[in-house]
Amino acid sequence: MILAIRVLRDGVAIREQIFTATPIRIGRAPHSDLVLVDPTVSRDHARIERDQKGGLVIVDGAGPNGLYAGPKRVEAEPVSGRFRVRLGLAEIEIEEVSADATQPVSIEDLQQLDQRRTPLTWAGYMVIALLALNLETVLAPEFWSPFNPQRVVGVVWQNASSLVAILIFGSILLGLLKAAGRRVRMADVLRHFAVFTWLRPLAVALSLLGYYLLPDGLAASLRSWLPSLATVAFLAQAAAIRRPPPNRNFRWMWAAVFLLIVAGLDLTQSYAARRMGQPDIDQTVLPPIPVLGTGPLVSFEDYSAAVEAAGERSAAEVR
Amino acid sequence: MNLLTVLLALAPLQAPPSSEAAYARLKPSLFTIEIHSGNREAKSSLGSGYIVGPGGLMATNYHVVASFVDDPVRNQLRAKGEAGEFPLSLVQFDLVHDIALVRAAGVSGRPLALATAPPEAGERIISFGNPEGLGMSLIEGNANGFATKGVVPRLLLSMPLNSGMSGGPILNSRDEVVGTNVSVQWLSNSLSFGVPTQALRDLLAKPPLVVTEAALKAEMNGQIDAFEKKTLGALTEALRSNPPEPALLIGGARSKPLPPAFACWDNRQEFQREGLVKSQYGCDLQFTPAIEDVGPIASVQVQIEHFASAHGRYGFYGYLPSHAQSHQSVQPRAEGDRHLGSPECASNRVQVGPESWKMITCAVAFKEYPGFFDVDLAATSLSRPSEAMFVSLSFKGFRMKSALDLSRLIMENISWGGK
Repeated sequence: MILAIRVLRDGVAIREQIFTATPIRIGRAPHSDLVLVDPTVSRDHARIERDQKGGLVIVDGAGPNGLYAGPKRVEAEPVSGRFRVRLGLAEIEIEEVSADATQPVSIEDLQQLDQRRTPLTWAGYMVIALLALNLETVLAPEFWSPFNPQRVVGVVWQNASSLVAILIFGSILLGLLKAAGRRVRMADVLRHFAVFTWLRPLAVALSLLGYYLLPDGLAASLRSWLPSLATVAFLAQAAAIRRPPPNRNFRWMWAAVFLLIVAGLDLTQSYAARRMGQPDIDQTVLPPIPVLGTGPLVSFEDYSAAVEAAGERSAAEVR
Repeated sequence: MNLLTVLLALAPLQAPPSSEAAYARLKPSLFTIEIHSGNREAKSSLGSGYIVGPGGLMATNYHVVASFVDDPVRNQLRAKGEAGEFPLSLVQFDLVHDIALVRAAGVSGRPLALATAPPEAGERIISFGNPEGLGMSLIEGNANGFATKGVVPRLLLSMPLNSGMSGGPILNSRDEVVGTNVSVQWLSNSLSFGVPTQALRDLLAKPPLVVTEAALKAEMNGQIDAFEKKTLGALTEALRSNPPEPALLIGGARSKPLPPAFACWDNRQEFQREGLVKSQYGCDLQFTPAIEDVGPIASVQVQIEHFASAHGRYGFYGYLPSHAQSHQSVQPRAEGDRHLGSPECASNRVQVGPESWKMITCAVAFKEYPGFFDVDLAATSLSRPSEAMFVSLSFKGFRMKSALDLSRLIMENISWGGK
């Protein structure tokens, strides 16, 4: 058995001690196995031992301030996973560490360790993320419309607001990840933005290509769905920042959650639009290009059938 | 000072001495027609009418009694005249020409004589009606023959008709009815229109209607159906024919001319900073009838445009969607409207003849007249990088198949190759 006990301050580990045998005495007394220097901790505050079934359990040593697992005061509590418990105002995390085979170190991990994260690193990441957002903007044909004369002003404004948005959203993400116990820094979060924001222009580029390759309706769906999928991938990946591997299932789970949220929002919106009688119209057109021309076309007969079906939908509405 | 002299000198010409006599002579045959729900002084619709036959038979406009035709259970008709107030019953109506017959039992005014011929161009005429319900008024003016545009015949009048005078008689100097007041041109000065007396004669020859909600609805359906078929037939024939007139040239686009029932406008705009030249040609079918609360029947608007772009093609195509959007005249409408369904649309890239178009068509169903729709199409050409044709077609009150057939005919007549 290898048991790691971490002393936490504000939820972050400041000290770790390894034990290989029970019982483990925890308290302010110098002879304790784990000494906690905190005035609210009793001399013999608690101990970790094996119960009859061989499971680990933490037991209150009957001091005045007691033992808290979450909000509830406990006498004895089984220890599992990353178990957090409060002794007075001090908090510790207990984790049984596996004695599995040594994991290989990737080059990327090493580089990350070596990197010095300075404000310059932050700025670099943010510039890369902004580049992606700018690319997304300039890929859209409406940006180049002759009736959009305020292009420069628009771009400057977009960059300024995106910069603020990245910092705010990044801070929230950082807070959430720290709350989940990750040893994560702002640079990690900004690095995530720098990499995964590029999914947005990629989505736009793919939907532009889709216009020429796919039937009009399918191309329109792609145009409305790809940016959402990029956002889902961005968020699912963000949930796994600095999480110890394996992460594949974890990421898929979050992707499913975010997909449900995005799809739910989208369906709610289209349902509301339908109830308000606002037709969903896709007007996108793109110039003809060599080889692919205008993209796939349908005959007027096929189109008429679709219009007749639309008419029937309008007529079928219940009074 | 000089102007005042001129105006005073003109004053006697504008009021011939006979008008006081005409007013006194004709007043007993004139009535104000109201739709009400039982309250004495309140009304939901106001118009005028005049006696045309024995037993208190009066003529007025269909649009004056339209809400009664729409809901004969909740609404009632009444006439107010010199001799007092009388309940009215509906006898006949003609939605297309906008004329109706009503009867006031117990009214014994003298029927006005109907003229045997339409008025000469330039003939002096007088008209009566109750503008805004303020009092029976006489207006003088001139008849100018028939309006040259439109799907139904309309007398072209130079006189300032006002709201409330609808349904009043238009008389020649021999006190004969040459027409019935119907409408004015919106925002114009004194351009008014009348229903020629022939439409009234045709209506007088028909047997009286049974006035139940179902029978009136069936009559409406029949009249809408017949008018839609007639308009469709006339437009189809005109669009299929090869007229001798030269083709329309709209910038770099070309189209066969549209039938003469349309009133058309064209325009060319240069956007110098944007490097864009826009040529427009817009037409609409005139004097189409309308149903109360639903809208026009068998009405067509055609807009053909051509754009030439001097700058990049990518941005040009970035502008075209917002342009097409600005032409979609189907308004959002929440579910639950009594008369019209919510708009439903279809869009695709469509091949018509040699040209490929991005088309968006929205349809709004008429709930009380099954099979009829407002159909709105916006099409942007896709084949040229720095040039585009745009077509917007708005069909109001058509059968779906008619709207689609006419769309196709109009689209097939449009091609590249103007100046």
